[in-house]
Amino acid sequence: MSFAAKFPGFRLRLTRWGLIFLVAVLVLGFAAMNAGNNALMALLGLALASYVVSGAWSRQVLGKIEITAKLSGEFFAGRPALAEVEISNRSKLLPAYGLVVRDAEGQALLCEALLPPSSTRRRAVEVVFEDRGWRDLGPWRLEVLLPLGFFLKSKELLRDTQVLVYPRLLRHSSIEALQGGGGRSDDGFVDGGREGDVVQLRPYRDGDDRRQLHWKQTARQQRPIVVDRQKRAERPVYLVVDPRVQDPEDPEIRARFEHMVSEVATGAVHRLGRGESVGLVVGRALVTPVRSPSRAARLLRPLAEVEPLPADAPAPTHRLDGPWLAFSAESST
Amino acid sequence: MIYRRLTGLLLLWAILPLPFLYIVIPPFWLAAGAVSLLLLLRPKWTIRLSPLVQNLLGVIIVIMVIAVGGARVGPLRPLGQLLLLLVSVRSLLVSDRRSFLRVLPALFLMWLVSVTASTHIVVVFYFAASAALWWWIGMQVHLLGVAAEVIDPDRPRSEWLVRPVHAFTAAVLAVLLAVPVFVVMPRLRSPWVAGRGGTESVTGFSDRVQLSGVGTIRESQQEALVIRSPGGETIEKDWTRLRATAFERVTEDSWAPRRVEAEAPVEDGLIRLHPGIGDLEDTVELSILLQRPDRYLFLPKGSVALESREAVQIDPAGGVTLTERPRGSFSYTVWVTRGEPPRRADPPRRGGPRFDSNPEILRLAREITSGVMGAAAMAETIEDHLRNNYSYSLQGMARIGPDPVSWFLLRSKQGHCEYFAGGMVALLDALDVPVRMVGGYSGGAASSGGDEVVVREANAHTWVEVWLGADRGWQAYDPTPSSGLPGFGTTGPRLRLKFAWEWVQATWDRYVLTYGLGEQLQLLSSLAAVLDGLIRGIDLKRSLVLVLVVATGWILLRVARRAQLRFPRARRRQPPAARAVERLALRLGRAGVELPEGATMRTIGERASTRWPPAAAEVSELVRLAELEMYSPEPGAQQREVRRLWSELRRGMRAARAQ
Repeated sequence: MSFAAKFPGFRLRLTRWGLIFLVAVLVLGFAAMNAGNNALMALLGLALASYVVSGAWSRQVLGKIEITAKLSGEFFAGRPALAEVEISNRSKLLPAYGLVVRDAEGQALLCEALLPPSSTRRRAVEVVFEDRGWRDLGPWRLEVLLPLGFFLKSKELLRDTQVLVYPRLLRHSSIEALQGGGGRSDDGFVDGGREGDVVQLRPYRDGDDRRQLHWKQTARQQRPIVVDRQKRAERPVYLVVDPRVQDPEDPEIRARFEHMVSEVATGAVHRLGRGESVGLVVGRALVTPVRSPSRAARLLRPLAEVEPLPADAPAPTHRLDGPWLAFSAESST
Repeated sequence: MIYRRLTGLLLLWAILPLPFLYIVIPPFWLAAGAVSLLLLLRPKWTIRLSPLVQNLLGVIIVIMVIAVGGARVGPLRPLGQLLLLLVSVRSLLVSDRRSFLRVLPALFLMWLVSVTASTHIVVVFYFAASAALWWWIGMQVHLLGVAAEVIDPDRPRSEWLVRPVHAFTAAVLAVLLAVPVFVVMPRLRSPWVAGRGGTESVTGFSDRVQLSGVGTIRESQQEALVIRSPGGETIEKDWTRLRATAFERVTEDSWAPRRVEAEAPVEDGLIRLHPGIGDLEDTVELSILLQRPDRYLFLPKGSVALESREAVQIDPAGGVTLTERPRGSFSYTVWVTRGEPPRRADPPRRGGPRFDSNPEILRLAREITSGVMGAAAMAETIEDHLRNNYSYSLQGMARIGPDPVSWFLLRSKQGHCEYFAGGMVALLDALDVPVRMVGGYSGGAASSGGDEVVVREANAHTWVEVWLGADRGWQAYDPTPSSGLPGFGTTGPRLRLKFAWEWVQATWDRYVLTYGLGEQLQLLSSLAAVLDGLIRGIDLKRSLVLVLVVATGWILLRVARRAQLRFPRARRRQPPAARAVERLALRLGRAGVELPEGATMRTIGERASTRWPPAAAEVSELVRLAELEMYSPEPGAQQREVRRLWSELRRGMRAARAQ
């Protein structure tokens, strides 16, 4: 394995103590040479040997530490989320002391006092992304100072780990105020299965769900009777996002666009929470309605990935089977 | 609090050797000890001193150090005392990491003084333990630094403690690695610091004693030579007085022989040491093995003939010297008389004073020999006087001035054999009696059979020969007191133990304390000799075969390693229990039991249990282990356990067949 592969983004920084030690070794060497005192010579030997042992140890530790991050939850922009980080010492002999993992901004994310040989620890790390879209989790940096702190050695971790960050959820969304669309249709009914209102009792036919059997009537009439139920048809609402803006590069327009996307995402999450069926149109893409909050990712993903388009881009055109609400960075209806 | 404890520990450790070194007076190291114990045991008891009080304390300390002697006893002692007191006060003021780091260099310096001033062999253990302690402290301080930076300071820090075993292991590695560094570091002493080198006497004695500046050093127990009797005869004590030559002049401050040397006459392969004695009938043949031949061949008392495979010369005083220094050890044979040794009758040196005339020595000589007439009587009187009124000592040799003999006779009245012999020569010479000093070895350790004697460097000895006229020749006298005479005896376990310990001490003295450029050159020369021997002994064909074998092995290893990287063990091999079940399926096939395609392990197990009922329990266990291996995150079965199950299973199969 090449050095670059083993130590990606390797950095070596001489610490203040390292500098003091080097100067002290030079002074010691000069004194030993001059005085001919073999105790000084032995000390010089010990100092140089300690330098080598310390360097070899910290280098070995840096090479043998591996970190993997498990990102099981959802990440929303501006909202703290926990990433499960597994830090392992692959060395069979050397313990690792004083490991510090820092994020790209140099903030300490986690710190391990001692990681024994061939051991693994799991830690939860709080991460916050400010913007939506595909974001790099790293690069994080693993720093090794010990054993004797002459050098601060570090390498990059999690360089290619990307996270999809959903749009920021707003405390107060204008979507919430919009009550249009959604809910149940007043004029359409659909087969309710085991839900809905009882419409009739009828004899059992092949293919009927046996769980719909009405046992009392079956016993009374001495033939299988099933219950027919009906419920009002669902009326999904479509949230239509028009990504076209006058100038995608304009920061002000871009900020408005981001706010609009956040509003749509907030509205979608709230509606799903209320049990409504929500569909989504983002530019040319259509997401068929979903009802369960557990499937919110289907709506949030295109919202996380959408980018503002120039004004001459084609408008969203879809035949929708329900009411819709259109949103644009310029205006919303 | 942890920083105060660390400070206390380091201070205590630094002052540990001070009670044995005499560079700091007891009140000072006792005070420092009290401070360290206070820091260790009562770390919460902090002291805050204003800068004014601290400055005042500094002034008081300087006054105290000057009052107890100042720089009158050299610079090291007052500096050490000053440093210790200042470090003690600064240590008391440690309260946090910052103040600890400030006092750390001073603590290190104090420890450095203690280590560099120690010469006893025990310092090895102190040095090694210090390495471990410094490693532990270094790691601990950095770990606490990391903790302070990234962790909430209120969080308990019990988990932020370095395990001593890790620091100890690293320190051991560092110490081991320090040994070659110590050996190869160049010893090029600065011209303004390096002192005058010691002079080497022919006996090799003086340079082993005059280890200037390192205090009391005992002589080496290194083997100098071995005397053997090829005929198995017991070696007499007299024969262990081995003479190199006589020294009749003093140049600078060392003794020198007469340089007039002549090629030794060889008759019938033998060198006759006393031309008048040609008959070797009443003599004993002795073989002598010189471990490190330098110049002289050492001849037992009563030697009459010598056989040497190297060319030798004989000086006027009867010393036999090698014309070329041989490599390695050197063996020669001598014949010694059983009875009275032959008279040595070479005439004494004429002309030229050997010493600067010293009226005090003349006065002392006259005082000792007052009323005594005749050379023999004078010699006996002076010999007795020196034996009875002077004491034997190996200490204090570092203070020898430009005239060591006068210093010995008139001032110190103590010294080793070289001083006693030199003193007797000076006294008799002042009285115009021809006299000379003889160097060689005396005594040794005889084997239990008595036919072998090991003579060590510690047996190096000097004595005196006095000219008693042409009829009596040179007579030997030994003014060294009996306490300083190297002994002669058999080697028992106690003596062996003593020799072993003294060997350790001598090795410590020679290869650690006084290890220098000479030893480095010697080491280099030995390595060159070994290399030379290796190169000469190399057989080209065999070497080629060896290189080919090594190269092939290396290539195979690389290929295997690459294959291992590409196909990890888990992919290449199934776990042991699953493999055993597969083998079981094969056995079933051979036994005529049909298995459905894609049979599960349980199916295989069921069929096997039906086929071999006595092995049903083992089969069931094997299937359970295989399922655990394949489907459970827990670690699978051990190879040994599966092997045991398989062998029991086979017994069950055999039992089934027998039924």
